[in-house]
Amino acid sequence: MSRDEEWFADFYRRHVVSLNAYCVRRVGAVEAGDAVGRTFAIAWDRRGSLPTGANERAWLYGVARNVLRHHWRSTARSRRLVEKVAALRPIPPADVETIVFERSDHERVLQALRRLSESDQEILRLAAWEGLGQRRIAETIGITLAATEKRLARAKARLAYQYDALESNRLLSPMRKRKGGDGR
Amino acid sequence: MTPDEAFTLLEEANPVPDPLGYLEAVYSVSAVAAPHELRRDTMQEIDQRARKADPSLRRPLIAIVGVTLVIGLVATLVILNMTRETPVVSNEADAEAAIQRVHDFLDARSASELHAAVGTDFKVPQAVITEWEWWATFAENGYRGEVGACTTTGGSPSITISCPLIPSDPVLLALGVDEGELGFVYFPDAGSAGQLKAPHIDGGSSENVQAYQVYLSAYQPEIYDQVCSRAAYESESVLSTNGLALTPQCAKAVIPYLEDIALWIERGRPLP
Repeated sequence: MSRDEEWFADFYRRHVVSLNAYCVRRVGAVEAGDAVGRTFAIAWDRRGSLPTGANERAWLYGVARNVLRHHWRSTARSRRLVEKVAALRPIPPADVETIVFERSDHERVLQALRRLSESDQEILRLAAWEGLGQRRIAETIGITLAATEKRLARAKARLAYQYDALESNRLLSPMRKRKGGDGR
Repeated sequence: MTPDEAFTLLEEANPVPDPLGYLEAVYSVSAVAAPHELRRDTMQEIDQRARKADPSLRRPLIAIVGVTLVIGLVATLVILNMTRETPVVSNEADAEAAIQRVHDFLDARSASELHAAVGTDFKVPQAVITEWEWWATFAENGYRGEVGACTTTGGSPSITISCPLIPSDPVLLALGVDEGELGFVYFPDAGSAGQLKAPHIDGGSSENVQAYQVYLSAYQPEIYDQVCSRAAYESESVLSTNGLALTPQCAKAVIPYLEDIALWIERGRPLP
């Protein structure tokens, strides 16, 4: 099948849902649209060399990852001042604009995730949220299958460690309650 | 906690557990496959930004225009394929009904009013419902924003409604957010509607919430600890963003400081 507009429409339809979710999970709903558009623009530009079949999604995630990296670099300067002030007290970074229902253990595990290196975060997100198997993860981030297995195992262990550390801090801290509140 | 348990918990904490449902509920089909012109403008802007930032991406202008036109065409094909119906021009009654439905939504001042006004078929992100009391507290105190004249485009089976919103929160204005856009979709045949585009509603965007959080924690730590820190609440159902609990109690505590926070932003966010 020639890679014409019809082919690209089908390609777009197959991947827009998962690619949009991938971007929303990393930069939030507001900025995800730009990233999705940019990623598909690159895909169109490089349609002649796109992989086929199951490799398509891993390839798209790899491109989207680079697009998002570029986004983070370009916005880093504007965030620097805010982060400097925010460092007065520990707060989670404002990288996800989407406001989610935050169960406390979910909030804690997301906080633990943000304490990890970017490479650990990405391999965990690909496995946990994008549902990729280790072979697809290896293709997405460009490492061997053996290295993927090791990295994923280490990242899981670090996630558990950070979660436990946060949990310990929470239990050691005196419980703060609202003045005159209902005791929630 | 074992590594596998932590991983399972992370799987459960997926911010977008249902990608298709998310896309349909938050953006809807027409937001993803936007109108041709909008998509074309967006793609041109993206390409121009990329060209400035990365010299390796500099391509002839004709290539960019070609890409953007194709994306616009693809978007159109997708929406046509997904709706599987040929759009027709909406009639005036449908457009009026659509705008009325949106105003019912915008006029609500509490979660209960919201449900009563729009019913359960008005699709909004879950966060809108659960945080409505936070937003309503801002509205009750005069920080609601001014909704301009809404415009409608499209027709059966869906009408897209766009309403300009001028924020009144001085913090948003200090952040340079002087206009937002409310986006909705309305299905005349079913009489149902949904929110497409989350605006910079007063009190509701992450930019100003982050400013509230940083300012209060630095300058009003007692207030912050008592009612605005997520740690002040034991209930798991309390929502938060950037560590700030989005509760009516916190909203009431923030509102008296909005002018101070705006001034603080304009002065470059100095440390205490």
